[in-house]
Amino acid sequence: MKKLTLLAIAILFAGLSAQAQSFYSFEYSTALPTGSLSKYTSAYSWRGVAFSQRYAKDNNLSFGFDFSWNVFYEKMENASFEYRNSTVTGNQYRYDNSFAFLLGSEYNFTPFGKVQYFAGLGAGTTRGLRALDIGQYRFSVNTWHFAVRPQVGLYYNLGAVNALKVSASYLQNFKVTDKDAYGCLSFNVGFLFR
Amino acid sequence: MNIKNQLSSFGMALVMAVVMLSGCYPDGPEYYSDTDVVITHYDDAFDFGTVKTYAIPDSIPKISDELFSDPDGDGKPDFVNSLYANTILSTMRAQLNALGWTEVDKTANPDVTVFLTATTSENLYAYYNMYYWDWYYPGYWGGWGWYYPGYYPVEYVSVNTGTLFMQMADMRNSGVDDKLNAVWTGVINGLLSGSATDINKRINNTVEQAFTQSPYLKP
Repeated sequence: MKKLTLLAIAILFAGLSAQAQSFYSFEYSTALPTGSLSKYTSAYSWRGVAFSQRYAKDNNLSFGFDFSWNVFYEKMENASFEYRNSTVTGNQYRYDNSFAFLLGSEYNFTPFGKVQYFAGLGAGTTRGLRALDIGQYRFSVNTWHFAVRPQVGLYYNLGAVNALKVSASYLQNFKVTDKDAYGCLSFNVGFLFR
Repeated sequence: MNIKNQLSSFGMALVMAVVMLSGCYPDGPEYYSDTDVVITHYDDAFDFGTVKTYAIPDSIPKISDELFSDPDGDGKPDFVNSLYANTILSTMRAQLNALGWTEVDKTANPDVTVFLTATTSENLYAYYNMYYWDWYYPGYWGGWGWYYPGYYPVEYVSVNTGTLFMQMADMRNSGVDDKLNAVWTGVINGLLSGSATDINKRINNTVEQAFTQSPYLKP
């Protein structure tokens, strides 16, 4: 429901700003797990994408919508976990999928340069799907989190319309009943289209 | 860029994301042995250090229902093929002997008796009828059932496909309300596929693991 609400807001926002100059970017995203996620899986994620849509308010400031998806995975061979008087041993396959839907803003410090530096901040919600497979069984916990994401990066202009985008961001997902706070530090590379 | 183009580019980006990620989505189990799970559970009020002797039946009944039925009328359940039963029994004996326990006949008042059953159905029968053991203890346990002091042998998972169920019964303190106290249980579950050699190797590894992860059994 939150996702739908957020999408509706984003589309409304897009509609209101249709006349403003806009640009979007698509990036390949890698990520380092932090917080409770790093306890669940410490493996670096090489599977991820990030999409961002921006409407320029002026030369420096822009607002828009961000979406990202990072997949974390780790196989733990012959691992045990204990619960009360029980011990369960087997190969564990640990998955975490985090989908972030954020409203974002960014400030471009050097809007007319060949290389443009920016910093941004986003806030919204993350859908976290976490699953542990052992034997033929799956234990899963799926949650919605309030999320914030600061970001820094640069655009390297390739021409009038396109630019190379390199960015780093930190997605912080706040604690909910079924899952502790967690996050990921992402390093992304992709293209900006104006 | 107008709103229509923006939405279509957003859609395109989402499709690309899905294709990219589904193409390299992480794999799960690759080998049959990757599905093996060993679960052990015990009664923490029981002092395993007091156990000196054990008995173990030399066949492994296949449990197909909680109620014992005997269609061939020989008074015995179906047993696990000796091709696998021998491996299970010899590994169990080696592990129990390694605890410093001595195997005795069932008539020599063992401290514990280790009951092994197997099932290939989707269910684990933790409360199966004791008539399944009438061949081992003839006429002894009419109407008895299993009791798990303060726990259930598989609390948080269902059991599927090939399962070996190990129950260690406290023979000195059982009998209240016709219940046999299972002070330790082990469940080994995995896909029953692959060659006999491969399955026996997995049985050996998993039975050993059941004891490795139960250090409290050692005096």
